Amino acid sequence: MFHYILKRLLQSLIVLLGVLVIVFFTLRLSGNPIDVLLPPGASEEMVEIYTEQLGLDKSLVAQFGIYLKNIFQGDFGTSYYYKEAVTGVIFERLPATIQLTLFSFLFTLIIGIPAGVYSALKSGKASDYIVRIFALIGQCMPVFWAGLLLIIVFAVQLNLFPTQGTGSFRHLVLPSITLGLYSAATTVRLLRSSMLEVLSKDYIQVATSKGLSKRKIVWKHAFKNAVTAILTVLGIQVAGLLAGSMIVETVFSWPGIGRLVVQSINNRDFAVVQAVVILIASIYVVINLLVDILYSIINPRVRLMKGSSK
Amino acid sequence: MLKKFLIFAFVCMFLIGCSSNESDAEKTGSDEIESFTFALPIDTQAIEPFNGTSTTSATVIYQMFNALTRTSPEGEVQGDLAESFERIDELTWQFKLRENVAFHNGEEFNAETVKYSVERMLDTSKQFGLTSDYLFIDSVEIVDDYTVNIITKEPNNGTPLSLIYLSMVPKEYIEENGDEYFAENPIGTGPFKFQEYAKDAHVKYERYDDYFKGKVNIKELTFKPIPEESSRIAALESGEVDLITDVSINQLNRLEQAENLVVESFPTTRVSYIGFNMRKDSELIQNESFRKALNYAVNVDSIIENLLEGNGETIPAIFLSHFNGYNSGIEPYAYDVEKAKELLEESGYDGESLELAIAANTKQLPVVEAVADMIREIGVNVEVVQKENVLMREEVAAGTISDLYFFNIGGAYNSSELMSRIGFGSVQRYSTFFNSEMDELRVAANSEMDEEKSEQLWQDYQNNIYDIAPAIFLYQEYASNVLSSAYTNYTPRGDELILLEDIEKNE
Amino acid sequence: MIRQIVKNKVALFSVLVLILVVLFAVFAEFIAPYSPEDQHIESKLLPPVWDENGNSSFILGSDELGRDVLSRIIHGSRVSLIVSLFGTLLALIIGTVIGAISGYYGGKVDAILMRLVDIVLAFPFILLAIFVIAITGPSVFNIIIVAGFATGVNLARVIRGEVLHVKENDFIEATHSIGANNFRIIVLHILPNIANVLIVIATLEMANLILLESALSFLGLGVPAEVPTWGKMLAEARTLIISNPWNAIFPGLAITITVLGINLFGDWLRDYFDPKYVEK
Repeated sequence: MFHYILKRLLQSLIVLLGVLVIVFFTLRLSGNPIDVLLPPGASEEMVEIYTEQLGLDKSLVAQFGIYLKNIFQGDFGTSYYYKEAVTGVIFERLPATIQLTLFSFLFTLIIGIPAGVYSALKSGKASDYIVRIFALIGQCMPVFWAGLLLIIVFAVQLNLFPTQGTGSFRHLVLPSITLGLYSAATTVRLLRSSMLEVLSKDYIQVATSKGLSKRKIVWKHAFKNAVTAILTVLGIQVAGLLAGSMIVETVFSWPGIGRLVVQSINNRDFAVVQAVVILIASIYVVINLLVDILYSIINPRVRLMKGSSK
Repeated sequence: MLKKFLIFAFVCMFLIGCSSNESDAEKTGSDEIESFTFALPIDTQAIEPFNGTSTTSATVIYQMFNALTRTSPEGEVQGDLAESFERIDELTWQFKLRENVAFHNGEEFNAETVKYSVERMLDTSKQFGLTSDYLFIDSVEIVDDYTVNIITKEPNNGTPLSLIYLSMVPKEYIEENGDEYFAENPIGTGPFKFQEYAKDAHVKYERYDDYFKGKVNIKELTFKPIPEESSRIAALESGEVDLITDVSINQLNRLEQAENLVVESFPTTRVSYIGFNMRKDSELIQNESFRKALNYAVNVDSIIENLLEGNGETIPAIFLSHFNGYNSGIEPYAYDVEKAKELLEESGYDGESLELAIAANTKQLPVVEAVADMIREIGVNVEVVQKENVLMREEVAAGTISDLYFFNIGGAYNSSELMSRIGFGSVQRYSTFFNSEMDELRVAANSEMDEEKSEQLWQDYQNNIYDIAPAIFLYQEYASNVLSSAYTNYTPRGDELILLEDIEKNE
Repeated sequence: MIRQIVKNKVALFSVLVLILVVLFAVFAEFIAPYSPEDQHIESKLLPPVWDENGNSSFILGSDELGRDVLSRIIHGSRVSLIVSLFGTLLALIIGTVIGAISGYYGGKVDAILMRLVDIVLAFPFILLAIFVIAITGPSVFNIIIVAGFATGVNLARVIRGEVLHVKENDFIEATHSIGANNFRIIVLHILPNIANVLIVIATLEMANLILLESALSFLGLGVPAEVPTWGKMLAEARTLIISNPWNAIFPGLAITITVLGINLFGDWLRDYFDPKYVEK
């Protein structure tokens, strides 16, 4: 086990380096921050001064070398736009995104698990179909559309929640639901199908025939299935973390990483985008490692060394 | 069990929703406004006054700071911390300063402050965002405690206008605490004192009772960035904010009908046009008849009437009515399909297909699509392409942009000089019209000390640019602010800054 | 199979939706009442015909430039389908090639390929899409390439797992021992065994790609300006969602119903091939 984790961690370093290379070079191919930083009337001379000050006059490879060297010294660079250290810029916004992600996950669990189990128990009945249709619709709606519909109904029409911003628990509700909608729907579907599979297994049939109540059996097996489903959804949610928060944070004016990244791309704030990408990639790598380990604990038949199943 | 749990979950969520439905803090009987919140689409870049280059940053900073000059809502330059100013020779502008003005911490404002502020701005090693706007200044001389001379490198009629964003900053406070501390704890002479800045969330201010123009009505002011337009409108309608900007024209009708809202539409300093890429090696684009043909083909009046619902103003070429040189007596190109087709034939157009570029996520996309449709009407093949904003600007700068591109220039400094230099000057990054005769005319007009002669030169410039037609001239843009009707006496500004010094409660 | 579909109401519904969308896409010119680019700016933002202010010439109303919403939705199906169909096809090719090679050969090849796959997966996909489309310009082709590539890499892992699973079967080893070459084994014996899984995944990916196109449009990086697509119609109408909700509701419904149709069909296919197959 320890050997396995060490090996995976080493592999992760390679992966992160690869991610860094891609983001560093594609960013620089996609435009120059000078146009954003200087007012339209700035002279050529000023453009040159700025290019030199930002170190953009050096070759790409040299810039990458300097960047790598600084990273190993714990320096992720300075934001061109905010004119302060990138780590500060990011850590100021990180709590908001973490809050949002945690609550959307909570929403996923509160809605997804009971609905999934319920749907499996009522399999084939009208109520099963209703739950499944809702779950499917949840998966099929574009996120920004769902967010705007929620704002109009629950914030503007019913005035139950604020339309935007942060500050209280009430502010969290609508953005969390929007962000969690897709994962909640996925949880319902996953849980339903894995429950059905378990219910059709021979040993369950035998147990039922022995007179054990179906409900008891369901609850016993529901737990294991629920955890597996949650792990899978967690993996999916982490992969879509940034994409989701970019849109949800924009719609709800949530001061987090997603919005920062949208703005930083628009401003070609290289250092910020690079650091965010590294951060997200690290989270992805770590969570997936954890998910794989937990999988193997819950389900010993999954052999870790045989590559990971997501 | 399961059902109970589900019901419980729903009840929980419902309770969260209802529990703390606090109403606006009750307001006292006086004219005081306890709290006021305004929302713009983007966050400020900084609260360090020398780093805010966007209009939003300028708005956030203007609540706390003053400069020597300020423009009126209509765009006329007036003294602010300067009582008066005059040009005493080709290169020198003299400013008489207000007396008895104090910063929020009590520090006195005087000639030393001006010299310090200007020199701090000109220090390129500090990398301030606004510095490049002020490199036309050579030096500052203190004449006496309340008189300073600002000396420019070249003769520049636009000096007082340019100074509106050079905020006066407290010398002793900064020297004592350092630039970094100041950048997070700014202190100015303005109507509001800084309280708190949470990035992408809010800037909070409280009233400065000793403001030199008299204390304002708002006690606590909050600025919020809300990027999505629909969310901004929703926040206004639900009473979370009191004033919003950047509302698209299609929303105005509905908002105008709402009883608790007031819609203010007003002309801005923003000039919209579709530039011809004259740096491109294309005989067609170089052909004056072709460029004029397209100008005759576009029905700007119809666009303003139908798409913009009257929220726009035709302009003869590129100068607005309050710019120097506007009154040259020319009329905008008329909508004349026959004439357009005639000129098109003269130009020898042979079915070549053209690209019309616009930056992605620009609200004028429908206008540009309508223009393309009108150009197609006279038989020119044109396709609209959206380009990512930064790449679009780079392509304009490199001269590799599409044959036609939508652009607009505005902001607080906009003037005949700025418009003609940035949009249509040689070797300017956002210009594709390189013409040395026109450059000379511009420089002459801007440095001429005699006002009448200067005006005449600007009129010549306007006439010439109209004739050369390096662009399809569109219109002066309007903007809208929507305000809660609980307040009155708010004046929107052409430069799109939000100033709340005069706002009052509506009785 | 057809009899099965007709028997199952959900499957029937999904197939009918898909047939309708395909018909729209193929015969858009004949079905749509107007050209999707015809502007009538004097009659912009009309509500649908059943609204009291509706106009019978614009059945589903008109947009900001007075273009017919119905015609744009009918034509919009084209881009949505092309992106999802070709994107998925490309994804399947990339995913199958990488997954099959990696799973079959194992060892160093597997390790290198899987690290490359990990890099792409760890890279936030939406950013990759933004960069590539910002650099190469927004076009249907570029969106297909980006989407197909990223989903393909994702599929590679799943397919690799399936290949590993099949490889353990005795008959593969038997084939190997009688001297069949690797390529032959992969194509003739392994791929047919994972075809069912591929088909199911493909339908689900098609649904995701339609959603992706709308997300890119939201961020302003969709297809060229005048090409109507559902995602772009929805993104453009989002400022109108309070004042002219129909403009946002119709393309939203078009996306939701089509994605629902594809998903339901995928679910049904999975049950059809293997009732016990667990959702990935």
